[in-house]
Amino acid sequence: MARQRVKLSQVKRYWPLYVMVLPTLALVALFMYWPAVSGVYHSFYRWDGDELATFIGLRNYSRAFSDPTLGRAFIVVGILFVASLFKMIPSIVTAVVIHRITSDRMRYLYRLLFVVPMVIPWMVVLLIWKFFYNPVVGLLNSFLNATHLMSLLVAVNAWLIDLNIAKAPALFQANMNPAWLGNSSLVLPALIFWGFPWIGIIGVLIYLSGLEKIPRSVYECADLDGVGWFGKFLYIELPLIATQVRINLVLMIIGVLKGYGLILVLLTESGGPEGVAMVPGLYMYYNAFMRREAGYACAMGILLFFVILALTYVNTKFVRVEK
Amino acid sequence: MAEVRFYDVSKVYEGDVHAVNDVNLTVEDGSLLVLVGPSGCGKSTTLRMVAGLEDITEGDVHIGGRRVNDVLPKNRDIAMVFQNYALYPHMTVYNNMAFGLKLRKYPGQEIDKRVHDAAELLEITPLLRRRPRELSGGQAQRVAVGRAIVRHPKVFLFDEPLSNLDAKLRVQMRVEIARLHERLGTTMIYVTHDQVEAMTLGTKVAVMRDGYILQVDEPLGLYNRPVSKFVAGFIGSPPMNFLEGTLERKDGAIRFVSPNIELKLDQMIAAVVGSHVGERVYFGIRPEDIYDSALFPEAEEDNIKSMHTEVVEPLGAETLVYLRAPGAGEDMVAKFDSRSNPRVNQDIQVGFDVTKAYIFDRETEESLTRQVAQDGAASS
Amino acid sequence: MSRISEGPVARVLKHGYLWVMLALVFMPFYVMLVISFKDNAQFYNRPWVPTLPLHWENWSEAWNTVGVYIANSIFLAVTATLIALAAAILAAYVFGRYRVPFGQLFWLGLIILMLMPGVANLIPLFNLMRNLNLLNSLVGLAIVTAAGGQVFCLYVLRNFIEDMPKEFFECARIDGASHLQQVIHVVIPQCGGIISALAIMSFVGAWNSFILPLITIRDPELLPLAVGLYRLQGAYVKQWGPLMAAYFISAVPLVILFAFTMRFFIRGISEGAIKG
Repeated sequence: MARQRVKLSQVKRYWPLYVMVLPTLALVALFMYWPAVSGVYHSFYRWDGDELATFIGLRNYSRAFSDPTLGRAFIVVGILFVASLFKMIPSIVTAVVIHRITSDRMRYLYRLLFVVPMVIPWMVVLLIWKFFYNPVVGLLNSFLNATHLMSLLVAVNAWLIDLNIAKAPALFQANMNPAWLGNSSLVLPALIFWGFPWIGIIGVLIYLSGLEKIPRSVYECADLDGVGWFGKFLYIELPLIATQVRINLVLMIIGVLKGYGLILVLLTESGGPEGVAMVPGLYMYYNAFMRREAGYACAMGILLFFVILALTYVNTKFVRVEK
Repeated sequence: MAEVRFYDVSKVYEGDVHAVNDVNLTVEDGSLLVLVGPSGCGKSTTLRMVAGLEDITEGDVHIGGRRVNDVLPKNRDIAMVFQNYALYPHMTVYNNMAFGLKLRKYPGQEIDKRVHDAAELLEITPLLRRRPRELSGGQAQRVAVGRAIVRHPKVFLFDEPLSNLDAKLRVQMRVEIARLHERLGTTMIYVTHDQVEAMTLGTKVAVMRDGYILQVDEPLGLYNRPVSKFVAGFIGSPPMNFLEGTLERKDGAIRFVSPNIELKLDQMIAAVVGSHVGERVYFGIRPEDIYDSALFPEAEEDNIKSMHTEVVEPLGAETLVYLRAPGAGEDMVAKFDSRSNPRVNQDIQVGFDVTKAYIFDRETEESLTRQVAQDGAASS
Repeated sequence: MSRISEGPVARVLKHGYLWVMLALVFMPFYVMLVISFKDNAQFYNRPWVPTLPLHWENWSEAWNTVGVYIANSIFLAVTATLIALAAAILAAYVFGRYRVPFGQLFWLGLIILMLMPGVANLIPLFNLMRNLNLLNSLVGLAIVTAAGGQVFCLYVLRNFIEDMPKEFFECARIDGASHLQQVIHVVIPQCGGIISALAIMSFVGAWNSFILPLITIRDPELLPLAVGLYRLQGAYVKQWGPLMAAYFISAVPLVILFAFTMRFFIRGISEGAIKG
């Protein structure tokens, strides 16, 4: 629908429109733009986050580029990002499977059931996972012990050490519960496994709405052409939800880059043992609130913004989908 | 009650798109004017300028003698019926009809009375408690009209109100709108792209094209005295046949000559086009003025031609015959009455009633035969 | 509607897969429920199966701890949602219906914000809130949370309003409706689905907000749920039963919310996704 154009000369008659934009404008200008501007400004200062500020030019930025911890943090976030790509698969598969359920009522029921876990507050989910990884009382170790998978892990670990592929001392030893979030070698695997079975209900709903637009005749035609179940997925379903997948991809990139709350809760401000799970966002938080290097933290925030901007750009540019 | 006048009204959109050009028009008090034309001709824009939904770039619009260019839509005392009805899906029919009155803070009793009166008039009283999604297309249309009626406006504006209905309902609603106009006697402006609707409804019909008003006339006036080839082709169904050729004087008569057909003009027509002999022209003749020659004894020898039937469409009361002149030349349509029974793929004799022919200038496409009083219709 | 002709094997596989996935995603409920009735002795002996006696007192104990957090979070989430949606609906009406001078400029400015990581300006935001005296205040937190959700709500709503048939608005204008009346009588009823979906998302977002309250709220009796629970698990010698009961209780408000709005939510997400 074409929007009605208001000319400059008519502003007088349409002044209420500006009043209606005012609340949003005020909120956004005050609480988003002002901090952003102030952040850029302070990134050129040595600043304790309070009154004390000395201009130091670009030194915060040069420091960031030579800071090994920040470099490592970007590598960690890169690993988590790649893992997240794979973690998108279950949502897609689940959406397709729900879509292929023949009964309308069952389809609705499944949809409903998958939404239900959304009621668990995010913090509770995190704390339950933390509990799940707890070395003494956690569900993961009990499960591994009960199914004797632990013995298998111990054996494999010993074997790998014998072959000089893994280093001693062994991560898994008999009669010792591994500390998933306490052992620097196990933290990243634990973070990657986090969220299993990796079904994001918002994603599933978005995919489903895309799938539902596929006309029945397309399936019937595919049946006549002898396309199998995987062929249908590959040639019909996947291309039709490509747009939605891309949207989710963008959201995920931003989410992973910004998402340090998870690590803060699971592994504290310092990013776990030896800081192995330090990600850029958390490092920024750490510098701002633990080390009172707010100027440096601002500079990191700006860098992070440009990384997100670049990735979003790359995504819209190269993962193009025809509508 | 009010008349609507346009004085040199133009609408220019950004990017120099001229939607409406120099419209001068008077819609008399209590009359029903139909704006008709192909899509994109500016008829809706013209209507929306009366409503105040579009700004007027140039010129003035007066409603009831008052210049309304800068008057807000709500203060113009008009009501509009939209093509997609624009019924609020979350309100009952009653509330949809009462909404405008409520906004204007009419007392509850008055609202109730007006809604019920309008509902009675339109025979939708049983529907008042329903919601728009529970209505059929025709019912929704009535509600949309009802919503306009309750306001007792000075002018009714209709923007293609029937184009979302199926053919049968359209005819029925057309009759009802005509009857409504009769009852209320309010000024109405009605926009449509359907020439049949325009012809059957309008007291006056204005034909528009490319933002210009080409002709304003009574329906039969348009049919009988079109000012241009475009109007002639637009009014009437199937449309008028046009042949391209030259006018030549032979044996004391003026003839229309094209590569495959030669027709002798009627004397009355010849009298007015005499000065155009030798020029390129269009010869126009309506399908209903081409006859099976066996049933048309009045035809002159010169105007009976042998033609090939390409397609025959019997419609019952009449039969449409698609004809082709020998030599794979001009195609045309004839409307035969039910007495003749042409077959497809045959050569038949057809007679042209040249007293009802039209001649249009090849360049300007203007009619050269307007002065000829056609078929005893009131002279212009 | 049968989409695909299928054999019984495919049927079993599909349903089987979904039930396994459902079992996994519902696992936290089971864990919370079972452990919430145990004392620590029962928990250390047999953590994964229900044990007798049931320790109901865990629940009252948990309620005494998290009740205030829940109240704070409800206040926070409701206030933030109301502010965010009220502002966004008004602005979305303007941007969806009109092209006002300087509107495009402002719009682009807003869209860039979607890319801005909230973390990038956390410290200046903290300082700003301190200067405005909004620290350690739930209202202040609600305002800032609303501002954060503003751009997303505005973006989605604008797309919806732009796609509404313009006749609805024109008809209302001829009927004499002011801009505000058009918002109330035309936009809100007809965008009800997407508005409720946004309201739910905004509510859940505020309900789950963590970092901002973590750094801005000091008083323990003002803590919203997420921070409260975070402090709780770190602070004491763990009593697993009451802790799990507290976790479970903290899901209840959202259960109530979803019970009434699930339908809108699913529909809203689907509609929203179609608009892209």
